[in-house]
Amino acid sequence: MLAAASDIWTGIDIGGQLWLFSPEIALVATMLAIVTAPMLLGRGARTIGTVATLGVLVALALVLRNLGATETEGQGVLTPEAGSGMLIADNLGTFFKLVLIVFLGGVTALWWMGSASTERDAPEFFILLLGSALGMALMVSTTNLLMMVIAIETASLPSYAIVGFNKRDTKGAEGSLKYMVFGAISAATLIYGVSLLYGLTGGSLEIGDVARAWYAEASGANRLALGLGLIGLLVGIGFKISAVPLHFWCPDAFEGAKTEVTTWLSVASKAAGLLLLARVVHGFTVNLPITKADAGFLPYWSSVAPLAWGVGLMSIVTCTWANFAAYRQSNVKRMLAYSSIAHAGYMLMAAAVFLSPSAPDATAGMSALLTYIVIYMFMNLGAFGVVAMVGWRTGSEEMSAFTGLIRRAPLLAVPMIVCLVSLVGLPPFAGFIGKWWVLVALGRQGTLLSWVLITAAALNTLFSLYYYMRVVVQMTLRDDGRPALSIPVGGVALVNLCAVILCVLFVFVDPVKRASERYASGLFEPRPTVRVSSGDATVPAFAERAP
Amino acid sequence: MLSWTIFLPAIGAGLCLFAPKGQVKRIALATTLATFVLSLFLLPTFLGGVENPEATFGTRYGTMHFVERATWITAESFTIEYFVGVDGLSFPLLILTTLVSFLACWASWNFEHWKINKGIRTYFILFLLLETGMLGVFAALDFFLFYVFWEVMLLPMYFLIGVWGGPRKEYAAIKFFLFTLAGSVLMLVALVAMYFQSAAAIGAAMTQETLRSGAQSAGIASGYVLGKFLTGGTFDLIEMATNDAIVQHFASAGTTFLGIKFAPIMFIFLFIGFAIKLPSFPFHTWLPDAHVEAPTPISMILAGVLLKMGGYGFLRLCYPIFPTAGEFWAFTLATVGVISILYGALCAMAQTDFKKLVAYSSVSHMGYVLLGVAIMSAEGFQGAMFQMLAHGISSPMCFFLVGVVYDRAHHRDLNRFGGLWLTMPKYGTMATIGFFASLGLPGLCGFIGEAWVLIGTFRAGARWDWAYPMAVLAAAGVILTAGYILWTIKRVYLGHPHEDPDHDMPEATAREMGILAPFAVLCIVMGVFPSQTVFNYCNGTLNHILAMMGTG
Repeated sequence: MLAAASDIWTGIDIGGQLWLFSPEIALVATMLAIVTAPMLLGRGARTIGTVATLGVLVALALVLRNLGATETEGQGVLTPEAGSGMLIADNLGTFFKLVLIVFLGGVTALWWMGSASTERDAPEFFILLLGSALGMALMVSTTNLLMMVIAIETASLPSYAIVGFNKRDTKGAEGSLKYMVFGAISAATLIYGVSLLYGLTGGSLEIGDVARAWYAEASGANRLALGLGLIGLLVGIGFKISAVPLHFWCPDAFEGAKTEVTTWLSVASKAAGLLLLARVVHGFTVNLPITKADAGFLPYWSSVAPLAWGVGLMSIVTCTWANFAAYRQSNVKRMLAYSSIAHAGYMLMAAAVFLSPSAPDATAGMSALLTYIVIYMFMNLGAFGVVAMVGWRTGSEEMSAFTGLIRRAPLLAVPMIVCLVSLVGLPPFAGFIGKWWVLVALGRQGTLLSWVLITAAALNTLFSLYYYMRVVVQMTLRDDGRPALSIPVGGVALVNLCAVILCVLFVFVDPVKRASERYASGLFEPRPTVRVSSGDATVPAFAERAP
Repeated sequence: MLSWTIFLPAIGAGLCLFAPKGQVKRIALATTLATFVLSLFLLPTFLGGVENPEATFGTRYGTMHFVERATWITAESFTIEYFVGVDGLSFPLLILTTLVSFLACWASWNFEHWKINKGIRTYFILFLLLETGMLGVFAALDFFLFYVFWEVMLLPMYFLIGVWGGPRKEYAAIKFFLFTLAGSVLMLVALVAMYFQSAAAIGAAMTQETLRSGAQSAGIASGYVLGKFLTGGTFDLIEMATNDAIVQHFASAGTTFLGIKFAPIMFIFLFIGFAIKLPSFPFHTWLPDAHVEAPTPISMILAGVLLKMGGYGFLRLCYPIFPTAGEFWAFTLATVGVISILYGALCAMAQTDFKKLVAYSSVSHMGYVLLGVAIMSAEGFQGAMFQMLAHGISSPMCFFLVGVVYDRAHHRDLNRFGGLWLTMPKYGTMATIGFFASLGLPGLCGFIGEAWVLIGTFRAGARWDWAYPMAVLAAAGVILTAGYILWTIKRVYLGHPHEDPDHDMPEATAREMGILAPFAVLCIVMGVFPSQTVFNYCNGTLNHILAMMGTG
C-alpha cells in the first residue's frame, strides 16, 4: 500500500517540498541572524528588533506562499531513512503556522511599543521568543511521539526563561521557577508515557500504531499499561494547554512575565498544545475499528469512550474551575491568566468532539477549534494589549489601576470592554461566534457527552460574566479622579484594530469559518504502519489521501 | 422598510457619535420620532384585517408581512438567516416599542439636570442601540437572530442602569445582567438542541419522501421536503412551528434531551429564559432593584418594553413550537402566574418607596400575562396580549409620574408626600388616569386584559379542575391591586400638602405634560375601544397559534 509519489516522500529531500517547512527554517535563520547581529551591528534594542521583525515578515511571506500548497503539491512527511515519519506538512499545520506567525507579529508590535526603548537584552529576548515559536510550529507538525517530546521541549525551554526574563523582578523569577518545576515533572511524565507506548506497540512511535494497539487490547494487563502511557502523553500535552489540574504554573507565570510574553504564551502555547492534542485524538479517530452502524454499547465503552469522556471531563473541570478561581483575583493580568485557562477548556471541548464513532469526520470539530483560535487570538491580543499599556503608564496591573479608565483613556477602555465582553462570549462580538461553532460541532455529534458539554459550556458563560464585568465596572462605574493616561498612538491603533476585527468577525464570520473548514479537511491521517514480514524494515503506509 | 425601522436608531447612534455635544439630544429625539413614524407605516396592512382576516393573517400561522430575508451564515451547511417580518403578534409590540422609546427619549430631555449628568453622548448612543436591539427581538423570525438581538440589548441596558442609575446602581446593573444571561444560556442550549433535532426530523422526512417517491425521482426528492429546500436543520421559527415533520418530531416521546422528553424540557428551558424577563415569581428579584435604580426614562423602557419580551417569547417560541408541552406545564405555569399576581401585589402594598411600588405592581400585572398564556384558550391569549400592551402603556406612564415628583422632591418616600393635587392639578389628573389604568378600572386599559384572563381562567375550569381556584385567587389580586393603588393615591395626591420647606412642587411642565398626554389618551382609548385598538389586529395570529395547539 504505497501512496502516490506526490503524496509522500521518504528521505530528506531537499527538493521543492522542503518549501513546506520553510517558515520554520526562516525562524531558525532569524535566530542565527540575531546571534550574529550583535557582533556586526551592536546590541541595540532597535537594531535587534528590526532584524527580528524582518525575520518574522520573511516567515510570514513564506507561510503565505505555502497556504494551499499542500493541496496542489500533496501532503508531506519528512522521514529519515528506515524510520517512521517525523514531520508532516498538511493544510492544518500550514494554517496554524499562519496564525502563529501573524500573532508573533502582533506580539512583536507590542514589544516595539513598550519594551523597545528600555530593553537591554533584546537579542536574548528574541532568540527565546522565536525559539518557542519554532517549538510550537513543530508541535502541530507531527504525529510521531518522539517528535512530540522534542517539539514540546523546544517550545517549553525558551518559555521558562522568557517568563523570568527580567532578572530583578522577583515575581517573574517565581513564575519562571514554578513553570520550570511543573514543566520538568510533566516532561518526565510525558517521556515515561511515551516510553511505555513505545514498548507496548512493539517499537513504534507512530500515534496510529498506538491507536491500533489500544483498540486491539480490549482488556488485560497491557490495556492498563497502555492507559498509563496515554495518561502520560495527555499530561505532557495538558501541561502546555494548562488544563486543570495541570494549570498551577499558569497564573504565576503569566502574572510574573512581561505582558508581551503573557500575551504570547496565553494564545500560542495553548493553541499549539490544543492542536497537538487534536492530532493525537484524530489519530485515534481515523483508526477506529467500529463504525456508527455497529457502535454498540460495549465496543464504544471499551474503545473510544474512556478517551472521549476523559478529554470531555477534563474540559468541563478546566473551564469551571478556572472561571471560579478567577473571581478572587485582584490583578487583571492574573485574572486574564485564569480566563485563558477557561478558554482552553472550551477549546478542549472541540477536541473531544472527534472521539465518537458518530463523527468519523473531524472537520466540524477541527474547524471549530481553528475558528476559535483565530478569534481568541484577537481577543487576547486586545485585552492584554490594554493591560500592557496601562501597566507601562501606571506601573501596576492591579484592578485599581483601571479605575475610571473610560475617562482617563477612552480609546483603551472601549476596546477593553469589547474584548472582555467577547471573552464572555456575548453577541455582537466574535467571541460568541467562536463558542457557537464549538457548540454546533458538539451538537452535530449528538452523543450524551456532547450535550453534557454543551450545557457545561453554556453555564460557564454565565459563571464567567461576573469577573470580566468586574474590570468593566472598575473602568466605567468607578472613578477616583486619577490623571488621564497618555497612550502611544500605535498601541491605541493595535487594540482598537482588535476590537474592530472582533465586531466585523461577528457579522462576517463565514469566510473565516470556510477557511477553517478548508484547512481542517484533508488532515494527515496517521494510519498504523504496515510491517513487511520478511525483515525488520517497516514501510510507512500513511498519508493516503482520501479519494 | 422593516429593516430601516430596526436599524434607524443604530444609524442615529452613529450620527450621535460625531455630532457636536449640544446636538446629541436633538438627534436622538429626532431619530426616535422618525422610527416611531416609520413603524406606523406597518399599521395599514393590519387595519384591513378587520374586514378581510384571510388576507392579513392567512389561513394558518406563519403569514408574515414586510418580510426581509437574506442568508447570513452558511458555513457548514448552516442556514442562519437575517429573517425579519411582522404578524399580528409582533407588530403591536413593535409600535409600542417605538412609541415608548420616543417618549422615554423625550423624558431624558432634562439630562443636564440629572445628578449624574456626564456622558450625554454615550447615554444617547446606548439608548438608541438599545432600541435597535428591542425592535430586532420583536421582528426577528430566525431563532439565531432572535438570540443575537436578545443578547445585544444586555450591554447597553447594563451601562444605562450602571452609569446613570441611583445609589445602588452597580448592584442592580450586574444583577440584571446575571439574571438575564442565566435565562439566555438556557435559551442557547435550546437553540443548539432544537436546530439538530429539526435536522433529524427533516432527515427522517427526507428518507420517507425518497422511499415514497421511488427510485426514479429520488434525485429530485432528496433535499426537497414538504415544499421547501432544506439542507440540514433550521433556525426558522415559522418553519419550526409549521413544518409537520419537525412539529411531530419535537413532540414525539422518542425524542429526548439528556434522557428527558424533548418538548417539555425545551419548553421549560425557553420558559425560564422568558420568565426571568417577564419577570415571574421566583425569578423576579432583579426587577425591583433594576427598576428602582435605573434613571426614569430607562425604567420606562424596562417596564414598557423589556418585560414584554418575556410574554412575546412565550407566544412566539414556546407555544407554537411545542404545543403539546404547554398542556404538560399548564398547571405549573398557571400556579407561578397566580403566585406572581398575589405576591407582587402584596409586596407592592408593603413598599414605602414610590418607585418600588410601581416596580412590584409590574410583577403582579405580568402575572396575568403568564396566567393568560398558561390556560391556552382564546380569552387567555387575547387577554395576555392585551395586558402586555396595556401594561406597556400604563407602567411607563406610572414610572414617569414617579419621575416627575422625584425631580421636584428628590426623594420617593410615599409617607413624605401629600396633597400634590392641590399644587399640581394637571399632573394630578394625569396621575389619576395612569394609576387607575394600572388598577384595572373599567373604561381604562388595565381592565380589559385582566378581565379577559380571568374569564378565560374560569372557562378553563371545564378542562382543568384547578382552574377555578386559580381564577378566584387571581381575581383576589384585583382587590389587592385596588388596595395599594388607592392607598398610594390617598397618600400622595390627596390630603394636606406635606410641609417640605426645601422643595416646592411646581406644576408639570409642558414637556412633562406632552409625555404624559399620549399615554393618558391611549389608556382611555384602549379601555373604551379594545377591539378597534388591539384585538382586531392580533386575534388572527393568536387564533392560528391556538388552532395549532388544538385548543382554538
